[in-house]
Amino acid sequence: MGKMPYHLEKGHYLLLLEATLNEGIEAVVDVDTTTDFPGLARRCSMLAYMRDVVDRPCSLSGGEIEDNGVLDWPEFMSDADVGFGIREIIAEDWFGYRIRHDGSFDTSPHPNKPTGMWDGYQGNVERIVANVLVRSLEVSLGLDHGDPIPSGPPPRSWPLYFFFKCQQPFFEGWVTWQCHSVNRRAAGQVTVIFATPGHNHPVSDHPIPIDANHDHKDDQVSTLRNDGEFLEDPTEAKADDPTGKPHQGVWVVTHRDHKKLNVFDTSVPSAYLEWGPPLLPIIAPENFCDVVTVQPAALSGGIDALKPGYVAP
Amino acid sequence: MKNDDDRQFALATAHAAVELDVAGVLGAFLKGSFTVDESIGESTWRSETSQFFAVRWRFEGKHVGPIPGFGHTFIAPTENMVTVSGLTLVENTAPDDAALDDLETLLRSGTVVFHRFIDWLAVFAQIGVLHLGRPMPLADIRFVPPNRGMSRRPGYNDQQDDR
Repeated sequence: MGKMPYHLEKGHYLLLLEATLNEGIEAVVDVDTTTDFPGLARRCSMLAYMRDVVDRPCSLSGGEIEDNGVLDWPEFMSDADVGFGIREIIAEDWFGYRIRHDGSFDTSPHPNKPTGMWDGYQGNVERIVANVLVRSLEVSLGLDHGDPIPSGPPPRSWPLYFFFKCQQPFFEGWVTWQCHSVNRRAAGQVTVIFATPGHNHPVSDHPIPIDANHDHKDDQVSTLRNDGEFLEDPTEAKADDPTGKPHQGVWVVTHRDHKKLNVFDTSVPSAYLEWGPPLLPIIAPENFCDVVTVQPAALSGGIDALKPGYVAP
Repeated sequence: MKNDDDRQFALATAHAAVELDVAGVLGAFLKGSFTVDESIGESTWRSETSQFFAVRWRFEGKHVGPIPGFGHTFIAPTENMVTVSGLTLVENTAPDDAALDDLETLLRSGTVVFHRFIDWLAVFAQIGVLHLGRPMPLADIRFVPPNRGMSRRPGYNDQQDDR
């Protein structure tokens, strides 16, 4: 997570977050009178928790309070669930916090330093994320903003999906939704897009890994992988995973390769008035007519539609 | 602007030439004024064939006209205040010839060549096309210079003035 070789990423962490909040929702989709599913209790728990996070005081000089932040929601997946130190990565790289020796977070903002890994950006990412989670959970449950969390079935239960997308000038969370039928409880969808600044890790200018030494990594961008999950020219958008459960997928359609056109040397001597501002570099396809469709590997931020979906911890 | 005594191309001539050269190009999209930074003093020297003058300068103005940006597209005016700083080496390739009376005519004659070293990175940052990815006003952005050593003299953007 966080080393995106493509511009759009799902990846393991967001798949797990979706699994946490969507687990069992297919039962509601199948039978509209079904109102309960394992993810529902987690949604209500997360919504109540994140509302408290949003309501916490925030100091311009001190930043966010150190305790009871977004990452302290007790039902978040653990590092063991994800397979790496996700809690510290998000705290440090996304929220811009420093990790003390005892593991606690120093949440005070550093003046004139970028927030975490976000290049050239200072912002309160934790507060944005908390607000995004509140809003998206409310929309998924059919609650107006600030409505009390119902003790019984909520008005609706739409699946939630998350992506993050770079490179933007500043951090944003987009909460989008689509109702497929007003007559069914789960006939709709909430899609959240975290639009993030860049973070100085290379984005690949070619969507298909070039792997001459067969180490499953692209020869130029190591996070661009071809390890069995990557597919070139996928044909079938399968609805279910090998265990028969509903699944999802992402494909990217773009040129096979791109080249950057460099700026020219502006210090070259020239005559009076024969000069101007340098042209900024532009990116162009190597072959104007060559467009490919790719299913990125999960380790590159994609979704392996041919493997079982993740199981919520 | 020539030296009336010996009609030679002199430092003052070089200053005036750079002002015409800079204002003639930057003035197409920046509404502002040109100043010479005198701090480097009398900076002239000769090679075997040419005479050189170093002119450090600054052009400050409001971004009011389109700037060539990406290929054939243009960066639309942002109304941002922009400071362009540069150093121009003015090369007089005919140092032994008498300078023409009219500077414009002299410059168009082709005997004077300009080597321009301009802080374009700062220009594009002030316009907002760098880092931010697209032009935007700079009203809320303040700059605090990084610590680059005690010998660094303050630059135009070291002040915390609101533009």
